[in-house]
Amino acid sequence: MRLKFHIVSLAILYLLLTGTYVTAQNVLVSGVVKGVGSDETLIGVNVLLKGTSIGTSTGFDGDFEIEVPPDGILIFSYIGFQTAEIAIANRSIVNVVLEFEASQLDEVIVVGYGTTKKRDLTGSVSSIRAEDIQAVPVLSADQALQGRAAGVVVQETSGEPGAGTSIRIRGTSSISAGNEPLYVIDGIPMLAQASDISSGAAQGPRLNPLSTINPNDIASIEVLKDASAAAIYGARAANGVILITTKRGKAGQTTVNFNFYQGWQNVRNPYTLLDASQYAHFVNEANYYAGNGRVYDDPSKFGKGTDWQSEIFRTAPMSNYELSFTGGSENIQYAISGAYYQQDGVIKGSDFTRYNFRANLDGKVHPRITLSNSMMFSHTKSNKILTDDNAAFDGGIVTAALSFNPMLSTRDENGNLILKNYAVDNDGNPIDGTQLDDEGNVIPESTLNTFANPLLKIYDSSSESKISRIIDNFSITFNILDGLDLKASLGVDFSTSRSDQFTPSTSRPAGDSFASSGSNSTFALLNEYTLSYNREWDKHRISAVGGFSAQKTSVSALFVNAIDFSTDQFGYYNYATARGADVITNYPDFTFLSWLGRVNYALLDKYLFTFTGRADGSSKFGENNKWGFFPSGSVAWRVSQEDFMSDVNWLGDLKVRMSYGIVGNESIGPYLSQALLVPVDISLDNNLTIGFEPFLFPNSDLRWESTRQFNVGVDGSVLDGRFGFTMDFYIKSTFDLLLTTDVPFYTGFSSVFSNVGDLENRGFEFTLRSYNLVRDLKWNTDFNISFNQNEITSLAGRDNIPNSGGLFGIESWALLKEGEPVGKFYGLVTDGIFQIGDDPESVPRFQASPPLTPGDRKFKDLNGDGVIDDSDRAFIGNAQPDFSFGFINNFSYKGFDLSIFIQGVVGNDIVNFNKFLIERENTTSNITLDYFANRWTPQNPTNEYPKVNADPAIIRRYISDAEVEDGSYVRIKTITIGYRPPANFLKKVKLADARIYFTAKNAITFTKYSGYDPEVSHFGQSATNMGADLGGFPNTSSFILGINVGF
Amino acid sequence: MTLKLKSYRSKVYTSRLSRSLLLGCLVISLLHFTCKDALVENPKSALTPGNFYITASDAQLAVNAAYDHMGAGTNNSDFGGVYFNTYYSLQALASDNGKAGPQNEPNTVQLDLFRHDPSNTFTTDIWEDCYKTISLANIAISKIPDIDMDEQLKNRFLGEVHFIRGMMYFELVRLFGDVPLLITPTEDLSLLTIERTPADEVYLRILADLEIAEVVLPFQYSGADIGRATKGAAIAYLARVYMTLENWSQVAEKSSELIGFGIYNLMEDYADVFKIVNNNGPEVIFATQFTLNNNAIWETSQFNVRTLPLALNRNSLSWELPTLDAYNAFDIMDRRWEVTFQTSFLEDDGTIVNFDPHIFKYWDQEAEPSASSGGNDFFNMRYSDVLLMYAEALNEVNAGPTQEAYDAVNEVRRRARFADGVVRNTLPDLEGMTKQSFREAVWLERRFEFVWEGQRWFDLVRQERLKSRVEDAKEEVTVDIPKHNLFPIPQRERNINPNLTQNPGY
Repeated sequence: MRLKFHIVSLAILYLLLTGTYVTAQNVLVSGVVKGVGSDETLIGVNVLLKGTSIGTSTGFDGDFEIEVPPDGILIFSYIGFQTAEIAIANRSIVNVVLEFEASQLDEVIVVGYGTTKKRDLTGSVSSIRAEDIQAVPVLSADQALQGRAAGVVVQETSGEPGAGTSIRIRGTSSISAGNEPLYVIDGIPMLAQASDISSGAAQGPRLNPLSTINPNDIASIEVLKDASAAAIYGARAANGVILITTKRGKAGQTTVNFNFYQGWQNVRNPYTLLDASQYAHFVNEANYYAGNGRVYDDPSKFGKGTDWQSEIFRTAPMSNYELSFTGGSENIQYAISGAYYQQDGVIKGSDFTRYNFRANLDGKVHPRITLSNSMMFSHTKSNKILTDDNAAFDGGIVTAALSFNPMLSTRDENGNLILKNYAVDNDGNPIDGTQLDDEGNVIPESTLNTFANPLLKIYDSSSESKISRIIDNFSITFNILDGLDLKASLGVDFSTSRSDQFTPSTSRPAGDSFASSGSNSTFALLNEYTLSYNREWDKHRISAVGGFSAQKTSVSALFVNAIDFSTDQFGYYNYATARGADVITNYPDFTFLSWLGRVNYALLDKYLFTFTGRADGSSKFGENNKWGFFPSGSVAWRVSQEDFMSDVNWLGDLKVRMSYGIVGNESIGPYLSQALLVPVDISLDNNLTIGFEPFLFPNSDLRWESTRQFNVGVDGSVLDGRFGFTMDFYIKSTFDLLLTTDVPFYTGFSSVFSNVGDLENRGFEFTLRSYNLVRDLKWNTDFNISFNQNEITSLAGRDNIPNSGGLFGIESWALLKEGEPVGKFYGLVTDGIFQIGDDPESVPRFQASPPLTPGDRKFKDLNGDGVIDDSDRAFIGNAQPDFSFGFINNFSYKGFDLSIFIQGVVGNDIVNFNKFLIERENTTSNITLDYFANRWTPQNPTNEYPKVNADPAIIRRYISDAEVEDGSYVRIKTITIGYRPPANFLKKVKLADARIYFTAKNAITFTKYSGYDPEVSHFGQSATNMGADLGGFPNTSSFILGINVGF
Repeated sequence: MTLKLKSYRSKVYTSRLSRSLLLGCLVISLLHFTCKDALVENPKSALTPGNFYITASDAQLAVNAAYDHMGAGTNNSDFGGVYFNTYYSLQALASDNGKAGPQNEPNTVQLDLFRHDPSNTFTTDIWEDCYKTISLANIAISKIPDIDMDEQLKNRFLGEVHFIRGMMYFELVRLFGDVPLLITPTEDLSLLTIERTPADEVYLRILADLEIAEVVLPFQYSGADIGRATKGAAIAYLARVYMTLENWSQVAEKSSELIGFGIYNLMEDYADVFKIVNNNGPEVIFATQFTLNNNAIWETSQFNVRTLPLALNRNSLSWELPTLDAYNAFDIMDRRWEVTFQTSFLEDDGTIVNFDPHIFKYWDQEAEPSASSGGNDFFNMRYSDVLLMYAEALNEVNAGPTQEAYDAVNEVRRRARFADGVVRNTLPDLEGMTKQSFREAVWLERRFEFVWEGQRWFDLVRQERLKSRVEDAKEEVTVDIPKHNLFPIPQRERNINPNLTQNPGY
């Protein structure tokens, strides 16, 4: 709360300093506002005198009256229509016809080192405005992009508050150098690699760097998609560029806004697992097929038992408070805001808190000198819960909850949490190594698996992560002469993070406590000089920008971990009590130097040309390849401006675009080209000493990945702008792919990093915006759809490259292969179930497996050699979708508004690794009711699910199509109902604006996927390991109630 | 236009504010981005080959690194080096000596039941760690000759890494048969398609490496160097290589040479061999060094965690257990039986914990009461091994056991009669035996002496009785010969290099 008081007092100070007074002799001006192409008058249009806060709105007949100076300018703005600026020019009657927004040719688009009008655009750019970003209450800007822009596929990889998303602009164009776009916030290219920002010392996924920025501070997001648009960012542009522009103050309009919402989240679709008595049945039957005796004589006496999922999940609240001030005088403008966001995770013990502060100031200190400063500060704090599975180490909380024995109570009779996943005896007591048999000997402990009680993680393991970040960009613009500006800017992105994590001895299978702590400080300095020139004469219009940019990033990281603390009491607060604390320090730095230039030329407002080039030098690459040049060119033809089109009245605007260029991808860590030597500890005669060994394969030719991109597009609008559309077709060919490929261990290394391979993305995007109803009942529709096809065109002679994301000891479950897309799953093909009467000798089986018995699963012997092994694997799924779409319908009637946002991804598959736990025939884990109810039995000779068996003969090391599921989904991403009280009521209560709303997010999802949520990626943003689901923090559905108030 | 520009100029250049702002920007810029070296990487927290392999101290650090991946394997993806845990566990599991514990760990179970496949992590880890060690030895062997330093020390360093390389290839060739033979540092990707080198050729390289080591290595070290490879280690390994090759006259010659040095002795009591204080004692010819030290995590040995019973109130997990066949094979008065196995334990609070037989020989209860880690070294070569090799070789070279052969084996048996200062009336000296009965007596002696010391599978394969012994000890297991005389080439390697053939049967 204290923060908000500071904001208020600062704002008041600014108001006092910058208040403006209108002193000219005023006249009364009146008029009527209509919508284009009809006689319909528009009610409630905002009418404002430019540069002041003097304004009114139109009445029931679209009429208005206002007292203003005769030489003033009136601004007319209305939702769904373009804003118009009309000079009064000594008139007393000003009638206005507003154009539909869909054809907003004069809309200003941010394009990197400058802006352009939409009409002049030759490249492919999607623009998302503030009201669309704010339409969905989200934690970070990347989430707001979901379903909003054609060609931009956003996936929430985890439901953990503050977790990262995975964004693919026009497909997967890199295999291992990263596929995330470059984010540029107010001119500063962001360090978006989580590793640059957070220390990652706490276990679990790292936080999303963009979660440090309040999405409501954003004025617009532009997505630069093709090479023409993106090439101004050269070696970092191959995955597209996302430009984020924050709100700035405007002269005269003083607005104060307060926003608040409160929401509740729930796990969308928990698994239905066996309860205690069902599980006891399962154990009995599995032991029967294993040739053992009955374990439980009366399974039904165990009742429901413990539902471990409901023990760890909860309904989690979240809330958001924001206060913002914008305004200013002719010379100084400000936009200041503060926000507080708090969200609990649906897994108990997890939360996320964020404090934001932003101050954007612009000042004209001299008629030709403008100073600008954009400053953002944020502090985030989160408590994390280890959700990833790592069975060999601790086990994740979700996998543990899924696999835990429902017959087991969460606590023992003394009220202490049960430690492990114990089996229980016939009396329901855990077999935990404390019981004696008749002869007084200890009955050996019996556990289902090595997982620790998931509740131990909630109640005993603490894991905290904090990040503070300041982003500031200061610039001076010298207007050297009309049309020629020199801009010098200095930007800083500074962050510090600290993560701590402790796992007590009780919650580790080996009984040794573990702690890790890390701190990371990142300082990035950006210095840029640009010269820009704009001129118009006769039939020509030219704008050009050129400049120099340098960015240096220095990271200092300190990481400590230790095991076996002498007491669990201190947690991570006292490393002196541990045995063998390991300290790791790291001081990477990297530098980026660039020369850049762009020329736009328009002839007769019909023929448009853009040429862009950027030369980038990066310290990260091999000494032979430090500099690269990235050129692009594009042309556009505004067909609708031609004389021969002047009779085509239904066509508002038509533009054809074509572009070609090369952009790069340099998102790799520093020093990868060098054969660095690292220290290793060795023992000699009970003393430690050190040695040095190389740990990277050297590669002095290491260079960026390059992408050639060809794009053709058409923009148009018809029926007076009532329908606007954009479509694009593109081919992106990426070469010099940076790949970490496994090398045989006999080389002394496990992998090498080098430029090998090519891949290609081809796609089609279509966007439509239409105003279906424009009278009292308004209805407009946004629709976008994008298709992308991905293909690996060369692996530089390698037959294939298996992935290495081993889970449960399963190897190479996805495979890169020429002619196939990235993300193809590779595994065995099931062949039904071995039935009674089948001939055991004729059915192929694993080499080490005994002959099959009825109820065993069969696999196809694809190579026909009579044995099932790794050479019987085939492609059994694709992690990449065929297409994705967003479909938004906004309705409003009087003060009510309704927005329905449907979003979908179609054609992708998911490997549900959870099935290796909960659809497993043996009793080392709980299983799903679906499996148990439909398992093979002599009475149910199904071909879907094998019989249960406590002692399966074989450990399967490959995935099969039994674990691959269709991941397509269509979901009602949000439904929002809002109400805005009438203007006269607001006036009465002295409010400028007010709105209350209710939003349901992810409320309804149509999918065949059986897991928690089809939006999932166990390996986060990884391209080679995409499409895996295991444990993880489930995505949620939520309900939000909010209010916005403007003063 | 020009007029405007002029007037503007005068304004701007007289504006102190803007001038200082512009200057300020430029200065900051220049401070941080002097273009010349801006793109050159100078990592602050790591060495590069350009600034390493120059001094005698660099040479020592390069040699030390090769030892790391035999023991702790600090930077290994799989945690632990060759002899950290997988090696001796594999030798026990894939034999009549050991079986998988209650953890039901799939890789352990596979080896126990002889169902191991090419993806078994134990064999893959041993392969990886052996080759990592070889690659580090190769770097040292190629870089050290050019370092300007004391020649004697240089030769000793080279001797150490030749010994290590020979030893690693010896492990590989015995476990996997034909293996890729690499003797120079890895510098490019041309290695990705090489084929397996015939075992005969690998053995020639092993002998050559050990012979270099034999010549240049010292008998003993002092101070901080204790634990490094010695002349004795090279000679004893030569004997072991020759034994594997059944070149018995060479085995006899090499073991006799080592016995003749007179610097190695058996400890008086078998129990003392495994006391941490005797880690580099007179019986130890070469050991993988582990440290019981507050700063050590992976540098401690894992015997106790793996072998002691889960039922103990300690950090012990029964990963692998001895078979009853091994437990019952001993004369119960044999000192080695009670040192090697325990079936009950008296806890501090007076309770007695009972359990199936577990391996207790590595637990030095006084030095390491918590058993959570261990300072015990892994004994790659003990003096009793040389005595038994000598006895076996003399029996093979001659028509039967000679007196020297009896003396050598009886020295080992005599020690087994000694317990806590008392000489027991058991294990009489061997005498009057045929060639075959003596041979089998020595084999049995090897079993009693080296339980869980990484020898059993090798011995059974060499003695051509893997199938009969294992099937006797584990009735549910079927052993395929010759398939199980080798382990499979790791699948990972074959995925990347299809030119690597697989061993028959896998």
